Amino acid sequence: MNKARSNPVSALAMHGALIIYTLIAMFPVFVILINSFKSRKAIFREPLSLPNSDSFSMIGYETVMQQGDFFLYFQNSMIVTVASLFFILLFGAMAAFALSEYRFKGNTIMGLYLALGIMIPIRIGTVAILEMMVATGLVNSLWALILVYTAQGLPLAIFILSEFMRQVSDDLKNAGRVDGLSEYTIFARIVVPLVRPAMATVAVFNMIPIWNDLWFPLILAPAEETKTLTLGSQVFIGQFVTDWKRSAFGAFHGHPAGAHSLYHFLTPTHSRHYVRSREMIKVLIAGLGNMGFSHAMAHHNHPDSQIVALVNRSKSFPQSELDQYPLYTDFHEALGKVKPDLVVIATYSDSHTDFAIAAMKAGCHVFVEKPLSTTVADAKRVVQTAIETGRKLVIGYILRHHPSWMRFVDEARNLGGPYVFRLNLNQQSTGSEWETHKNLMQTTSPIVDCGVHYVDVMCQITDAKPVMVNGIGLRLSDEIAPDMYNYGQLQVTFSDGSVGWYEAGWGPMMSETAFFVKDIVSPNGSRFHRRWQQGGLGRCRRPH
Amino acid sequence: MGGILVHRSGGDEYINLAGEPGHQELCDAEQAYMLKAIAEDIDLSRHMQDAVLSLSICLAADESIRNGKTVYLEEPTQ
Repeated sequence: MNKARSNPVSALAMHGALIIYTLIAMFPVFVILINSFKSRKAIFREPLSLPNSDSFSMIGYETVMQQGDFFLYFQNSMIVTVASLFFILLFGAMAAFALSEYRFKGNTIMGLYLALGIMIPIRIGTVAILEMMVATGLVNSLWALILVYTAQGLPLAIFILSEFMRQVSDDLKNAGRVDGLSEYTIFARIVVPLVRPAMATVAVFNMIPIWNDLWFPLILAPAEETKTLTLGSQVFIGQFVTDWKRSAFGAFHGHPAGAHSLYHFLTPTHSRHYVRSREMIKVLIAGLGNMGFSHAMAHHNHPDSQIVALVNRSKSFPQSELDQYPLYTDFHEALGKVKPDLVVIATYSDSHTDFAIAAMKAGCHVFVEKPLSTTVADAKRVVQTAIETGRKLVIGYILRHHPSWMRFVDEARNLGGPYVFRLNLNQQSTGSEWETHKNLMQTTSPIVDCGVHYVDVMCQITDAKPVMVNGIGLRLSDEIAPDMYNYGQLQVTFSDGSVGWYEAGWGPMMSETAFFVKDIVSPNGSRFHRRWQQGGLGRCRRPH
Repeated sequence: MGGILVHRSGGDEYINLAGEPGHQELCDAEQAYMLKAIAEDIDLSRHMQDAVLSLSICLAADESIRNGKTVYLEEPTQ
């Protein structure tokens, strides 16, 4: 035989090329498969890594099993696809046989008319189709889909099959006729077996669009019992958030060749149809500095809330999972457009009052970072608005949610007053930390910025009202404005006789001796917070 | 790890506090509280009052530092 055909080098090269192409084609399927076994966070952190002991999670599969009957969806898709293909091939082949075999008046016109259907998308007729389906009572039945898909597939099937049938030898058919075979037998026993490869082509061409179609199942058969797999898996793709684990599962199990799953990954999520299975608190996050970003992440991961938009003055903030949410630069525009239930305000202090009041008047609950306002009068206005509108207003006193401080407050209240409060936080800051502090001091002194947290602790412990406040302070650096001071101390007297001091200093010159005192004394004893770690909360930092 | 030393005339007690939460955990807790306040209609009047009081104390201290005088806080009206 031909020697070149068994040349091992060219065989190797050919197989090599094919294997490489196979790997490329299989890669998306592989990525989807490994991601279906990972937690949501792990998918975003390292989309291409294999699941390990940390990231392995069956949550995607569990949720798919719980939400929706995917076996039924699969069965529906299967019935619709197989039945449609059967009718396309049956009617298509018969029509093609008639057009290619018999000469009758209008044969060419009829062939052209049928071929015209290839050029006109069936979706143009959606409204008319829906009206017909409603009139015939076929809405929400699989027959509606089968009929539409059969109509959609016929033109191409007839066009391809009639071309092939013309090539079937007339001698064979005439020999059959001479032997007394009926036209149906000639069609079924002679012609169809000969055009089998063409029918396979037609079947493949028609199968993928039918299986992947979202349009007609959504319009004609959206009921739970007639949902197809494509429609069922849309439940996991919201307008602003996509459940990748479950989509990965659905795509992997539901769609031929992973083609559809690629489409899922490439289409911007917010252009999708919005389906949500349960009511959530819609949240607008204003300000994406240090605090705002963390609050946004908190809502991003909370099961009962759904971020609807973000507001940031600049368009730039760290790349993250938050990229999927719509971003506005104007707060009031966002508030008007997205109609949130809850607004989280973590912008610069001078905008807190206006934003909080505007949000509550628009009917939203408000979480506002500290300080509530820059003046007491403004703070009272905000609180008054909350009372008048009946909206919930929470101020970002982070220490109130710190277990050690909560325990501290409880223990102190158990002792009973009156109290001596001895609290401070001096921060010896250098480099970027000192730069951050200098930025803060463009508007707020340390004793106000940091102090509200610790004075809030005093207020939580004593139920009495403050009556008298003294302050001393000093500017210890030429790097801050002439009227700013980077060291301050306050003394406060409460109506029950309790007294407290608080001290805050920022800068490279600050001493680290007794820099973080948390000490409460009462007639019955004392509470002393010892050796708390300085990370995270201990250091008082601000949104920017 | 830190803790709270409770000193009474009868003797000292040291309360160990394990597991300091990080910044993100605290923010998670704050927002969870916000959602809970909405869902369970929690009364926040003391919360809001304390916020105004602590701000007024700090701003009064700032004022006192700048003009060297003691600030007497009027009885809050709410």
